[in-house]
Amino acid sequence: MITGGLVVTHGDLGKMLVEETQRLIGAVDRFEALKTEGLSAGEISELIKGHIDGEPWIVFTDAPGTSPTTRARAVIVAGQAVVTGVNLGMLMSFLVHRPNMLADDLAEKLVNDGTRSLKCWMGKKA
Amino acid sequence: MSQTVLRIDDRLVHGQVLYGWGKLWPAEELWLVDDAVAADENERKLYEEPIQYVCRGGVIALEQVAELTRDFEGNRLLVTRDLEAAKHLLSSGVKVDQITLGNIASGQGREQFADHVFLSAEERGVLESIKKDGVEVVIRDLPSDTPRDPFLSPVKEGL
Repeated sequence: MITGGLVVTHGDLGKMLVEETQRLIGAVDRFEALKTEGLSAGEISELIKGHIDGEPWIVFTDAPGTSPTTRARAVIVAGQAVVTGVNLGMLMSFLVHRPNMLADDLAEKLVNDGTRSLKCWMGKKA
Repeated sequence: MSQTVLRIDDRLVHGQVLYGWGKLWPAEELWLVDDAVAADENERKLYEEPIQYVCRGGVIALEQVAELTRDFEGNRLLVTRDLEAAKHLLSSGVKVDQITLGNIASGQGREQFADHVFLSAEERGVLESIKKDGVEVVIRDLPSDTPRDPFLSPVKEGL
């Protein structure tokens, strides 16, 4: 079974990232978003656990230490992974590479690819 | 001015707590006071790691609250998952200047007082009594928010 991607974030950030990634790469299966607004810690755990249910998934979250990250880390089992700091570059890499990689190796690659997509450029003085 | 704030939040330690309170307030100490999390090594690590990235603190059980330094100088944030735990914490003698209501889920007999704050008449009675004992009780997500009074009328009818 191909590794699924579940983007769990605050508000609609995850939904927008999933939509925009598919706008760039095309519609795909097992690539979804959940939001956690208004849910308790226990409810977030149940929501994520019910969705990934022992199958191969990578859960993408927005920031370390936030509820999506903490609760996803609490419920994953072998063959599943959590990657935080989700961005568009990371998600595009996920969709490109997931047919050929298992979740653990893929998660580590995505952190590297996501980090590589972080760059800055300074404006020059006029 | 140094302050100890007790936040009641059923999301426990999360983004607003870590970044809004921990980093921006800022808190010199942040403690999640929760028996269930303290008793589970994996859960405890999940919360202690981000807390200790931001400031001093961690996860303790309710019975350990009495061990917190009583003459602490600085901002200290204590977090409990519900009012029941908050009551136990207050009875331990730790000085608390303010209780802030963060996320309290809806439930039977509870009415809505803010986006994510639902209280029953009994819970409001407990908070009234805490307020009479000299602890300020407010609703606010972040330190920068204008504190709201939980003793005003609910924003929605009972659920």
